Formats: sequence, C-alpha cells, structure tokens
Amino acid sequence: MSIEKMELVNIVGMNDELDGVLVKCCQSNCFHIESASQLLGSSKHVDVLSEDNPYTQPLRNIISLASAMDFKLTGVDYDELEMNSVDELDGYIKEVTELSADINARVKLLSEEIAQRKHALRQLKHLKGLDVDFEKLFACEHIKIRFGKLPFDSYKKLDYYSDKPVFFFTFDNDSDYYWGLYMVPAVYSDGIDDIFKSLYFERVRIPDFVKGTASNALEEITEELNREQSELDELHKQIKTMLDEHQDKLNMAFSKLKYLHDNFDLRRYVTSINGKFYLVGFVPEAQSKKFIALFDEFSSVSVVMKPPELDGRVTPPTKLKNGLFSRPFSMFVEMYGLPEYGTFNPTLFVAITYTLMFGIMFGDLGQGLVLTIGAAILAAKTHNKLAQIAIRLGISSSIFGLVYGSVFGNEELLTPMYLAMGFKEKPFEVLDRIPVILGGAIAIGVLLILTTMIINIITGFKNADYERAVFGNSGICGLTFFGSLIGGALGTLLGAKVFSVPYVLGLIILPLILMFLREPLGCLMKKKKYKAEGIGDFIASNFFEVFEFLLGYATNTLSFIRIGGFVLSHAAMMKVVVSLAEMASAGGSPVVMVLGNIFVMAMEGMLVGIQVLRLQYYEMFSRYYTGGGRPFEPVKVNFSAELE
Amino acid sequence: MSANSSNAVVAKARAIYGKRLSEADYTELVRRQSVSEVADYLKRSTHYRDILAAVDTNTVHRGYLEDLLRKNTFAIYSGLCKFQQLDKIEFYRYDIVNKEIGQILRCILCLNTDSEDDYISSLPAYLIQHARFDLLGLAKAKSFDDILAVIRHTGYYDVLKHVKPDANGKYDYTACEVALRTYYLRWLGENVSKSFSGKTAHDLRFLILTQVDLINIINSYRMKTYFNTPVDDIKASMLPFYGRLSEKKLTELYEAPDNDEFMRRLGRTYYGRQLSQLDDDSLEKQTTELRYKYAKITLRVSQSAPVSLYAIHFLFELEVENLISIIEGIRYQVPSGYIEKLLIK
Repeated sequence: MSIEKMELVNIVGMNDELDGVLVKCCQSNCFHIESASQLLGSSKHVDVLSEDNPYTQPLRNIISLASAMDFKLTGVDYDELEMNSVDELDGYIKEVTELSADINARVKLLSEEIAQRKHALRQLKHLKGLDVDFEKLFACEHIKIRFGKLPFDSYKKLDYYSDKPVFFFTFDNDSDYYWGLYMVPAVYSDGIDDIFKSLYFERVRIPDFVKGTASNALEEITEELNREQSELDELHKQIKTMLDEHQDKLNMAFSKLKYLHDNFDLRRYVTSINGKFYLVGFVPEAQSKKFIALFDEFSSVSVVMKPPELDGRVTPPTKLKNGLFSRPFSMFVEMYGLPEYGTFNPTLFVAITYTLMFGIMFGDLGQGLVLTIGAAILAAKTHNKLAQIAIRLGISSSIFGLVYGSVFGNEELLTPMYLAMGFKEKPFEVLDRIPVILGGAIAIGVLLILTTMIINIITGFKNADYERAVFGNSGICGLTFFGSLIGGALGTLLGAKVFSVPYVLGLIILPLILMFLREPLGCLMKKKKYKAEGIGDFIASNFFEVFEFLLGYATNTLSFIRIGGFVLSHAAMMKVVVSLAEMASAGGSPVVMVLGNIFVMAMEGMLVGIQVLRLQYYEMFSRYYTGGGRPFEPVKVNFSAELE
Repeated sequence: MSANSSNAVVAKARAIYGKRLSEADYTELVRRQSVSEVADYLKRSTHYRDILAAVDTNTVHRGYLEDLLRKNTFAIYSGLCKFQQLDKIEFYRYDIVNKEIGQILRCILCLNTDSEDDYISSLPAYLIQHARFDLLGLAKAKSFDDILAVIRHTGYYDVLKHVKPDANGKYDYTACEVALRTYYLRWLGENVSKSFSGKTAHDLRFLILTQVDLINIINSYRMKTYFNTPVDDIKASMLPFYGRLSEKKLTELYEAPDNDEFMRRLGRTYYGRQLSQLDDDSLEKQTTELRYKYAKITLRVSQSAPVSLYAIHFLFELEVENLISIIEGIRYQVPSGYIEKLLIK
C-alpha cells in the first residue's frame, strides 16, 4: 500500500508522426502528460505547437445541431463509421443540418411567438379587473393611458403627488408590485411620465394583437397559444422521427470528432525543434514496457524512460496503490489532499483505524449486518466508494456488536451463546462499564497518537526533514515527551514512583527545550546557518508555539473520548427504543423496534462517520500528513458535449 | 437578555455572514457589461435572490436596483433585531435613528438647493413605517419651519430649533450635520451605557469611536486638501468624540501646514501605523478597509449580540456600497480593473 512508482517519459520523433503518437498515448490510458516547454525552456528554436484545432468547427456544428434537435450526444464506439476525414464528417453534419433547417426555423419562430403570448398573458392576468375595451382606451386623444406596475414602496409615495393631474388605478397587487394604469391629460403627460419614472413605474406594452377587454383578450390569446403549442408539438414529433433515423450515426460522428479534437488539443503540451517533436510525461513503472511497445510501428519515434528523481524540474504526479481492503478509503485521503510523490500513503492506516473506530462506536450485530447487506447491494449497483466503505464498516460493527452482545438493541439475545462458550454471564454490559469505556477510548487515542508520531518520524527521516523527524512536536522529542508523560501518569496510577528527578529532567524537560530550539537545531543538522529575526521575537514566537504543542497534546488526547461517548450514546438510544417498544401494544412493538432501529442507524451512522473522519483529519493527519500531491491523470478523451 | 438568547443572535449573525458575496462573485460582477447583467447575476447566484425575485432584470431601473439592495440590508438588520425580541431595547433602533437623521439632512439640502421635489424620489419608503416622525410630511416641507413642525415631537427638534438662515435664506448644512451627528453619537453612547456593560459595552464603544475617529480623519483631510479650510472651521466641523485618537492628536492633524505633514503626523498615530501606504489616492479607501477589518474581527470573536449585530450590519452596508460602485462603474463604462480597485473586500 504505497504510491505507484513513476517513470519520466521523453518521446521524440518527426512532426509528421505526432498525431499517431498522441492517439497511442490516449489509447494507453496510462500516460500523464506534462508541458515539454517546462523542461526544454524557451529559445528561438523551440516552438510550442499551438495551431488552430481543425476539428473545433465541425464539433461545434454537430453540438449545435444536437442542441437544436434537443438530442443529447453520447460517446459510442465508432469503428463502424465509414467517414474518415474531417471534410467527410463535416459534410454529413451539414447535410443533416439542412434537412432539419426548415423545421428548426419554424420551431424557433413558433417558440418566439409562444413566448410573446405567454408574456402578454402574464401582464393581462394582472389587469383582469379592467372591464374596458383596450381599443377604446388607446383611441383617446386628449388622455394618455399607461399600463404597468409600480413597486410597493413607490405606491406609498403617491400621496405626495395628490395635487398632480393624474389618477392611478390598481387592479392587482402582490407583495412587490401594484399593477394598474394611470391616466393623465395629454398636455401634462411628459411631466407625469417623468414622475412615474422616478417612482420606478415599469410600463407594460400591450401588444397590438390584444383586442377587447382584458378578459376577452385573455380568452383569445389563450386559444391562439394552444393552437401554436399544438403545431410546435407536431414539429417536435417530426424532429424525433428524423432523429431516430440519424441518431446512431450522429453519435458515432460526434465520438470520432471528439476523439480527434481532444487528441489534437494535446499538441499544446508538445514542443517542436527543427522539425522534431518533444513530448514529456509520466507513466507508471509497472506499465512502462507495455507503453514503449505501443510505438514500435513508428519509424522515427524514440521513447526514453528514466526515474523522475533524476530531473528535479517536474514533480511526478501521485497515483495511490491500495489493496482490496483499503482501496475505497482513498476517497478520504483525496478529500484531504493526495500525498506527494515518494512520500507516505496513509490509505491503509486510515482504512484500518477508521474501520476499527467506527466498529467500536457503532457496535451492534444486527445493525452491522443490515449496513453490510445494504451497502453491498448499493455497491454492486452503483460501484459507489462510500458504499464499498460501508461494507467494511458494517462488518466491523457486527464484530463489535458480538463483543457488546447487542442485536438491534436487544442485549439478551446473545446471552445463550456466551453461556455456551463457557462464560458465566454476558461478559460485557456497555452501560455498566462506563469508566472502562471512557478509559479505553483515551487509551485508543494515546495509542493512535503515538503511532502517528512514529509514522511522522519515519517519513521525516525518509525525506531528510530532521527538524520535523527529531525536534518537532510529533518527532522524537515530541514522542519522548508525550510518551513519558503518559507512562509516568500510568505508573503513578499503578502506585509506582515514576516521576523522579532524572525522569522529569531527561524525558520531559529536555525534549521540551529541544522542541523550543527546533529551528536552529534543524538547521544545524542540515549544516545550514540559522537566521533569527531577533532574540525577543525568537523567544516569544517559539514560546507560544511550544505552548500550542502542549495544548495540542492535551486536546488531541481528550478528543478521543468521543469514541467512548458514542459507544454509550448508541447503547442508551437503543435502550430507549427497546423501552418504547415494551410500552407499545403487541402489534405496535415490532413497528417501534423497526422504526427505532432505522432512526438510530441513520442518525448514529452519519454522526459516527463524521466524527471518525474528524478524528482522522484533525487529531491524526495533523501529526504526520501534509498532502500537497498532484493527481495522476492519464490523458483520455472526454465525451461530454461541451467545448472549453 | 439571557446568555442563550445572545448566543442565538451571535450564531445567526455569523450564519448570515457566510452568505456575503465572495471574491469570485465580485470578479464575476465587475465583468458584466450592463446593469441588467449585474441584476441577473445577483438574482441567480447570491443572497439577493429573494429581494430580486419579482424583478424583471431585463428592465429594472438602476436606481430601483440600488434601493432594493439597501432595503435588503435594512431587512437583515431589522430581522436580526426582531430575532429574540431585541427591538424592545432602544439601542437596537440605532440604524433607524441614523437614517432618520439622514432624511432630515437630505431634506435640508433639497431646500437649500431649491429642489424640494427631488427629496421624495430618494426617500426610502421602507423607512416610513419605522420612523418616529412623518417622513411623507417631511417630503412636503417647503421651508425650515415646516421641517421643524414635522420633527417637533422628537429629540431632533431641540438640536435644530436654534439654527438660523444666512443672508441668502440658506441654512448651514454642515452645522446641521455636525449637530445632528453629535446628537446621534451621544444618543448611541447613552444607550450603550444604559443597556450594556462590561465587554459588550467596551466592544461597542470601540467600534463606534473607531468609526468616529476615521470619519474625523477623512473629513479633516478632505477639508484641508480640497477646500483649504481654515483650522478653526475644520475643528468646528468635527465630531466631538474621541476613540484611539485624543483631541490633542486630532488637533495636531488639523493644524498640519500641508498635506505631506498631515500624512506624516497621521503615520505616527494608532490608525496611521496600520495603513500600508499614506497617500492621497488611497487614504479614504484604506480607512474604510480598516473599519472593515475591525468589523470582521469583532464578528469572529465576539460572543455578544449587540456587538455582532452592529458589526454584521456594517459589513452588509459596505457590501451594498461595493455593489453600487460596480453598478455605477458599469453604467459609466469604467474599466473593470478600475472598478475592482474601488471595492472593499
């Protein structure tokens, strides 16, 4: 369980073989491309290939055609497609476009007319209270009439203009607007229009096709709208018939064009010098031989592989290598951030600790089995990573359910099994062992913190980061300090005199001092000169940092008490469910049990999942893991119908 | 107010804080080409969608859009005040009092410029039901006596009743403004002392007096730079309250013989030390940024309801000012890079 080893690949060849090489790179599904200009730099002889993509316009054309026909393009196998050149493909697209042009033009016109009528209907609905013929109103010579809507706030201000020669009539209102009309003598219309403009009155233009009163107009427009809608539906049916005929071929044409387009696009990563192209990328070491073999058919192409450590200019991407058990947990690691290439892959550690902690906190045989079965069904259908994780969590919960003796909240069901195994009684009653559970939770926390510190020390030494590995709060000094404190506390509890003067001085005070001086000591180990800002600044900043470390040890340790807290809360909640079921009638009791279990599973499951993740990220990752890696993304064609 | 109620208000204020516009929102907005596009973006993608729900973004008037944005901020403020029944405490009327004073001053300005009819269009109608005097009555005022008649039963009457017109029949707007703002700050201070104590009162005073200090700095700077106002006139126009800057320190600023000396003296003050550069172009923006910074920090750390409310309200007012800068910039086709420099974020 580590990070996939990469090889740095340099591919060189004549420019005329570039397209073929790029196709092979895409087909390999294991080539992560980098910009060659990063390694070759820039000079007058170095060109970055940035020609216009000849496949862009035909691709745009087919996407527009599909959009006009309301058809979703998908990526399909295009081996059967007889068109090879871009001209042939473009020609076919234009042919289908012309066939559908007339229908699409009529659809567009109808859609616009329908939109206009719907808009008019919306306005007229607010004027339904007006029982006067529009034509008569608009025929007035000496009075101007303006229809529209006035914002609610502006309506309050109309009283100010009560002395002006204008009447405002409202027919409808909502919380935002008053709908109506105002009438003004023609000779004063300009001034009054300005006043209403300043009040943000929005005029509604009544279309010429509106006749009669508002109610009559509403009826007529609705009829016209229905007729046009029917015609539009008919046209859509014709489009569908045409689509059924051409759909497969269009999908194939799209897939081929997208493939060619995306391949061509990769040219922006390629550099050219004197008629030769240079392509750089990474390939997993395990697939490198297979990758090289892909280019045997190209006479001018040479592929050179070397370890990425030999060239510090490009950081290799990270591809996590995980076993069957830990694979789905990579989702949690990726959420936090991938590890840098060559560093520690925490996925297995996360998988084990997450599964154990979840199982401890959610322990119930019945609920665990239900979770396992449910997750297995979901994972089989959807291949969802969370479902795959839930299978493992369910099994862990079942195992711990056996330990606690709990089956869907029933604490007695497994007692015969314990007696058959030789126990005098049920060995572990959760609610009777509160101190043990809470103490155990702290013990788990201490163990995990010590483990993460050890991981941090090992990775620190591997990366030659001595400040972190030796003098850091999770390095040797931190481990010594924390371990000694815990050891001393345990020993004292057991009656031993542990905190002797040498013990305190050597294992507690000395590590603290070394942590305080970690920056200059780290520089010393690397044989570098340490530059301090000033003695006062140094003391102040490091004092507070060490104080923060001390607080961190305490808070991180105590944080694990939530493991015990959730064990108890789960047991207590199930006890409540069982009590309610006992109180219910004979018929109602099973229902209460089922519903109660569903409720507890859903709520506790979600809470426990989040809390364990929080422990992973805050209490554990912060001690040994920083992320910062780039994901390994092999080049491939994206068959979404969107052009960047 | 119980500790639980205070916690609820603080939590609510912080939740509302999370809805503020992000850097990405501002970047999108300054790239829009028209007021309609700005309105459309605000309606589709930000917390202003509720207030703009019924607005047709294709036809909305710029002025109406700006009014709605201000109304939204007022709604946030009044919503928080009603939450946990805070509005029963007089302090929480602070924004209404501030706006009432703003309306009186606007009315005086319209009278002085013989443009009484302009007042009604700028009157924020949402304030009408909250004000303690008749705002529509104020709109109808044709003289200073009419204004006094409208505000007769309020504290503003005693502040303004002795103001006399000059030889041209105009009323000293600056004197009225100083008098009313002084009244407001005194009212604010009294209510803070009456209703709160301890850290809450201290934090509120810090926010308020910082605001006053920075207003005094900017106003004195403007008067010196643009109007060459004599020192005595500057002193008479300043608000007589002092936060981190004592009266002596402020007087030193007023008495600076020129701009450069003003900046040098400002650089030695508490506020000046926090400004990254002391120059004419950015002083106003930097002082506002300082207030913005204090408000953000206060909101993050305070456990007090009035302090959180005061801070969040200021932040939203600033957000609206940013949006208005964007709208006006787009309207006058100012380059997006220039608009972005004006924003406080």
